[in-house]
Amino acid sequence: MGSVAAAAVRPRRSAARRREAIAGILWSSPWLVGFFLFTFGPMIASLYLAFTDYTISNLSPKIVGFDNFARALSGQDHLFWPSLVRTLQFAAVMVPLGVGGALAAAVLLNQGIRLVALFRTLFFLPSLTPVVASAVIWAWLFNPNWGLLNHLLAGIGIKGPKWLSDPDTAMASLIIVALWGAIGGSTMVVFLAGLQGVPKEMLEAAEIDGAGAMRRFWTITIPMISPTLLFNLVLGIIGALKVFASPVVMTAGGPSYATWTFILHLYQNGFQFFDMGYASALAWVFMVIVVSLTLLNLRVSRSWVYYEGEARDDAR
Amino acid sequence: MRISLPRRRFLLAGTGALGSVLLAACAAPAPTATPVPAKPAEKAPAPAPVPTNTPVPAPAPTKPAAEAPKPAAAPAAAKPLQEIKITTRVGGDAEVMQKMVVKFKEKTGITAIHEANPGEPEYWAKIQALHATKQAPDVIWASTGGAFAFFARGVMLELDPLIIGDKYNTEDYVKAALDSLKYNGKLYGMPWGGHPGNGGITYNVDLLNKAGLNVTDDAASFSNVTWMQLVEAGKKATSGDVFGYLPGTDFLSITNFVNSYGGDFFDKDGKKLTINTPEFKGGLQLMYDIFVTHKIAPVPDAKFNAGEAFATGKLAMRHSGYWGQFDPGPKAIADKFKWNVGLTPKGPAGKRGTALTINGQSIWSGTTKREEAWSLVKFLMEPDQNVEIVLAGGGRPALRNSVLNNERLMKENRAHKVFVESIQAAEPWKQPANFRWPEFNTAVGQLFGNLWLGKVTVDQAISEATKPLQDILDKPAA
Repeated sequence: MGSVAAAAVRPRRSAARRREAIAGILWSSPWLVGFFLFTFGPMIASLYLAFTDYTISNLSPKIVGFDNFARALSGQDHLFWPSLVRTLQFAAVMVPLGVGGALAAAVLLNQGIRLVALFRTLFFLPSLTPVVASAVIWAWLFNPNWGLLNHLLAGIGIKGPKWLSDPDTAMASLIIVALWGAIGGSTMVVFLAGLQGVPKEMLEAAEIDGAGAMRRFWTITIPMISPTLLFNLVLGIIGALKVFASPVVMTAGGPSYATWTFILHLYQNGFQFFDMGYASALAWVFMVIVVSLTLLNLRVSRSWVYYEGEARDDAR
Repeated sequence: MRISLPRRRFLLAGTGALGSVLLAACAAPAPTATPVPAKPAEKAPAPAPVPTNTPVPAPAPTKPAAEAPKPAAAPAAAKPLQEIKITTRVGGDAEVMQKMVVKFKEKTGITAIHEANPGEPEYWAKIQALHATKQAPDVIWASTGGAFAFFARGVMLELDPLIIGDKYNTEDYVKAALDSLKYNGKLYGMPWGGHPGNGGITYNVDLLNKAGLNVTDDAASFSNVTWMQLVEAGKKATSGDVFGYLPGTDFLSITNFVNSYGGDFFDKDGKKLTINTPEFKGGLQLMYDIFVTHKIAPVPDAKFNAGEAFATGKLAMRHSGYWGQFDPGPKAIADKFKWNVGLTPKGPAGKRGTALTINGQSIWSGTTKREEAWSLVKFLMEPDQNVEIVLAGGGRPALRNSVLNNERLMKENRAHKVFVESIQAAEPWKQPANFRWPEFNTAVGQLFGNLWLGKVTVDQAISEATKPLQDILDKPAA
């Protein structure tokens, strides 16, 4: 009954609107076709393959049920859990430092100082450097025998670590490289945009009321940019969990699997050992982890993210 | 028409899209319902892996087998010549091939398009994808490290019928090389380039002389150096930021050590791990001593450019192979010091550690241009062409006696002569029965990492590596 009433009051679409909708779909169709053919299609294919024994050499895969998932989760694959834990550890360090560092850089570059445009460019440059190029440079810097870092440390009487060559320090070294590229990158630019949207009159009013710089930052700036913070946090977590390029280029996952991350493990199984069915299962396990963490993040965000014009539960 | 899209939903949708991209990246080309039919002999190879290390008689060119298919290399005079494709991995092989296809066209009139694909093992993923979509090149560069899974799956054409049909004479070929490219007794590749499985040491004559090791820039002067003499010289050469000797730590390099002690990673069938033997441990202990006890090697580093360190006089000796003659090469070293490439020493087992490693040329089983493809393979195997390739520094010598004993190579390639001796004495290619050599090699590189840093002893390293390595051998065929 209700739906009939709703239909009765729903305005009929005019011919112009229909034409507009068709035009919209047509204009976006190249992207839609590309998405369904090259993203959604392979995604569905990978879901199917996750339940098969498909190796890239085997053109007639057999359905194996949940065997691939059992192989991963049961520990039969002795690298599954260590690579997952290692990746989570990387993200646990990388995300706070990366997002916090980018916010700090954005706050610095949001000050009315001289040559700010130059500094913004300089901060942004590392993120434009191709991963492979920066990896080669950093590998030289980190070289334990002849590298610049250990040479400088030796100059002040410190015996430098083995950096990427030692399982105890390899992951930390990778985090340093990742932070170098991440702090001044697009995360910082998004924060800058967010900071410039904070109303000046609010900050000025607080200042007149006697609020100090830190107080203004924590009680006005942070709440006002909390949606931006959430956005960067979500993307930062996903980006950190996907860490792949730097270990594959700089350490090949070593030494002794110390930088063997989850996506590297997935890649090795799929594209080097040709166990595509198993690699597809790993991809879906990863998908579940990423989506779960994101949902959790969004759920928690309701308590700390403030959208302008949005009535909060505690304000009602 | 107004669509409401709250920000949280937008974020959620964005996350989903990112996840989709990730999954899509992982997805392989969807398998076709029916396998690509193997055209050659129409006899699919048995799926069960069979060890390939057992020597199998070379094909008899003058005695065609009764059931052999009709000769494929019949005269093509009436037929217009077709364009064919050939692929190699990137690097030296690709550079050489670019020149070879031009010469091939000049000689035969057949246009061969060369495609360079990524290095191994990604190279093989690309070949398989091309095979699955029936677009593979007609001639395929195929190394022993990855080719056998493809031989077993019928991706490559059996060459015996072509050889027999064409009355192609294989007497000049090194028999062990042809045997190393056989699967189930059938030949699937021609040995375009080969080496004894690394097995070389690039050495700085000046630094070694100062360290008391009496060698010259004649590679033969290094042939009788023992492991112990090498270590002693390395100890004396190590000073400040100059190191004595950097061993390789991959499967083949470790094989150079342990095999010279009589050990191997696995048994002849490639099914059972044999690293817990006194012989294997002896070779590994020597490596441990070089890295840890005597500290004559720099800390192993995945991105460390050992060639550059050698060229700048920071390394007295560097583990290498036939290619050590070209990398870093005379251009980089200039006349800074005298150098050459010698063979890795013989060990207590009275032999050098070797595993005959071959870069072959194979033909795709799905090709419709067999005659042209076979012409190209024959052209690439011609001694004259091959010698030019090797002299240009782009490859290893073809395993034919006329190439190995070629006067120009003997004269112009500083270490050719000693490597010929090693190639001819080399043990067969060693690989797991399930053809998972790339996986095994990767695991070896990771599992022994702590040993070179002195974080574990040889016994501990072997204990930690045993299960993961045996697990790989126990997997089904790749």
